[in-house]
Amino acid sequence: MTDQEASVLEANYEKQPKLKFYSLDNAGVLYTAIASSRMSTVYRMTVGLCEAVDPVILQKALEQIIHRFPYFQVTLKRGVFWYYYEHTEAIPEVEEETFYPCKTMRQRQRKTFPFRVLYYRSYIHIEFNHSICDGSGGLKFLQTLLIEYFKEKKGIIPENLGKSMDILSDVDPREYEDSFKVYYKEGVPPPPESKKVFHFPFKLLDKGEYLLLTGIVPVDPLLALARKYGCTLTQFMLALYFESIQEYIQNSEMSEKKKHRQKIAINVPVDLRRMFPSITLRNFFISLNPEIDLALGFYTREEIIEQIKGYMGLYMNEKNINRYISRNVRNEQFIILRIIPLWVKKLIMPVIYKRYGERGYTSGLSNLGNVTFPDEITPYIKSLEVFPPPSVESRLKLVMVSYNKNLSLSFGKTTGETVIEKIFFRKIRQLGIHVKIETNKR
Amino acid sequence: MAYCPKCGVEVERDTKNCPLCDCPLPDVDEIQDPQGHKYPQAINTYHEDHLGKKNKAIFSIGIIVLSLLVILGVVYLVYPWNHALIKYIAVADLTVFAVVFFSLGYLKPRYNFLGAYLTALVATLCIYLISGSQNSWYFNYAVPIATLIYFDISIFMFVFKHTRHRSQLIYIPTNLILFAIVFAIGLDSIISLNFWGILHLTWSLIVAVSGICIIALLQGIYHRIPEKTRIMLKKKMHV
Repeated sequence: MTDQEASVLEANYEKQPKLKFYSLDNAGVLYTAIASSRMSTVYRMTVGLCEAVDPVILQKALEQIIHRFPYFQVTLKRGVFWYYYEHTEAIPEVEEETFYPCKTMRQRQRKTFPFRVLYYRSYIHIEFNHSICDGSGGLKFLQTLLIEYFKEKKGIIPENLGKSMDILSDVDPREYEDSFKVYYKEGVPPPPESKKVFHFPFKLLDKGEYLLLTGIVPVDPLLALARKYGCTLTQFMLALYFESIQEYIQNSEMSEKKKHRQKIAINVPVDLRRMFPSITLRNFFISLNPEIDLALGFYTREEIIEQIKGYMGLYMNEKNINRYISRNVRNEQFIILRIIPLWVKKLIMPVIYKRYGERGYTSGLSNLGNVTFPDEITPYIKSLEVFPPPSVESRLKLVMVSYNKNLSLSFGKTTGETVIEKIFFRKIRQLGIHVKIETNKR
Repeated sequence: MAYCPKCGVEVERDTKNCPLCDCPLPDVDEIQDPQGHKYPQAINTYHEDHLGKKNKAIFSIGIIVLSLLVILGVVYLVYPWNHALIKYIAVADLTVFAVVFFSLGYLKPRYNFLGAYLTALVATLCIYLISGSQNSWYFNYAVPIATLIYFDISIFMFVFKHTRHRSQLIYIPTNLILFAIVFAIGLDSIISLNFWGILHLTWSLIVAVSGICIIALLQGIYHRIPEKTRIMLKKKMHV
């Protein structure tokens, strides 16, 4: 960084409005209330570089960019009724990875951040607490960090910053707004309640443990197949995942009658920035739950795809999404819930979440789409993966993200069983597509 | 490059078993991967993180217990007050500390439970000795009832551990009823042995029979009645 740039950065930092206090956004309120030793609500993004990571330069890059993200330079504090984030002057530090992924973030401690930057050999991991931002905001931070890292290491200054943040620009207050409240419409009726669906009966791992399993597949043949079936890539992968869970139920030891009593639903988060003109880096998504009911019989792949396409066509539109937003905001603004002290909320929220939230879906599949880095640094970045936060009720969750013609299908698991992944990846192999598996299980 | 012959997927170089199907992989690649494993051998810090909190709790309670003991000691020595009462308070004080220690789970669950049982026995023995009672209620009632509860809860935990992933609507009531039946029979036996000197079960049999009927009904609903019996019932009971 030149002296001129450094002085601009410093001047910008001085004139930035310094908020001391950030209230949590609508999803953040829920995530902090349900966090426990098993549900850390921390998700991970992993970047594989072509050479070993230099921790000194990574630290320097982090220090350069953190001032551009004042809403992430915060520490979680307890209020009487809600948690809140408070600005801290401390600087986050990069650490070498030694613990299990997505480890619980100790709250109520000064100088702890809602994210951590880790490195191990040629991999950089960023773990974000879901209460501060969703995958889209996290990716923006990651892209900015990588650009700064290569600027420091190799002197590369990309011409086109793409979706990353320009660290010399001013902070826009819309970057940390709670978009749920901005786009909330009064008087919209809530969506129908979810019903209980099939949950994996697998044995849980010990508390604190979390397993990751990634399958790396080339994206082009999958896209071609999706086109052949007349659907999008997300819908095609969703169909394969539905099919795998259905096959698991078909082969399980349940009685035939019980098999036909099961419903499979998969939670699919939708990034609302595509529908609303929001530029927030905080949470801004809602989840849809496409489902298949085995009481109607077992489904073929074509039938599942038709079912998903129909569901998405019916529900993925602004009018219907408004119902979810207004339900979420109304729940948060419900006066009786607001005046309950925080420690009581911490006791009852996990139960409510289990009853009304996780009960309604078997697993989750989140697609972060195709991620690109500026052309100048792409040759140095080998892979990108994103892992979901650990969850008890849905012991297996899937996140897909594509980068550089490869699709990473990353499972995060609170169980040691691999039967679903086995069926799922064997299905992809049967389609004639190459799969490479990587895991942290030893 | 290593491949799993069953799944057909490529795996990392130094992998011994397929991460999907656990099938052992032939060691074809002698050369170690220069980049090494992608993840380090992870450390689980859950117990360490929680040990700090537990230590804080036990330390604060320990200080309170200790100060109370000192105060009681001083009162006992210098102030002519009700000595028996002071002893009772001291026993209660130590018992609370022991119970908190065992409930914080420093030891393995079964040792914690055993510790709690022994604490109950020792505490009642102390009360028995301090009161200088003429009848032997400690040996006749306190020890058998404590032992009965200890074994009853052990059985309950064992059954619960093996059925917890089945339908909770069926198995939790079943286990609770089983617990109540064992407890009722045990208590009735203890009372009758002490009262009449012989084993003479009365009210506990009613509890047992009705309890078993409810269990049979619940399990019948869950596992379904055997095919033969169902056909027989259908023939006999048709309307």
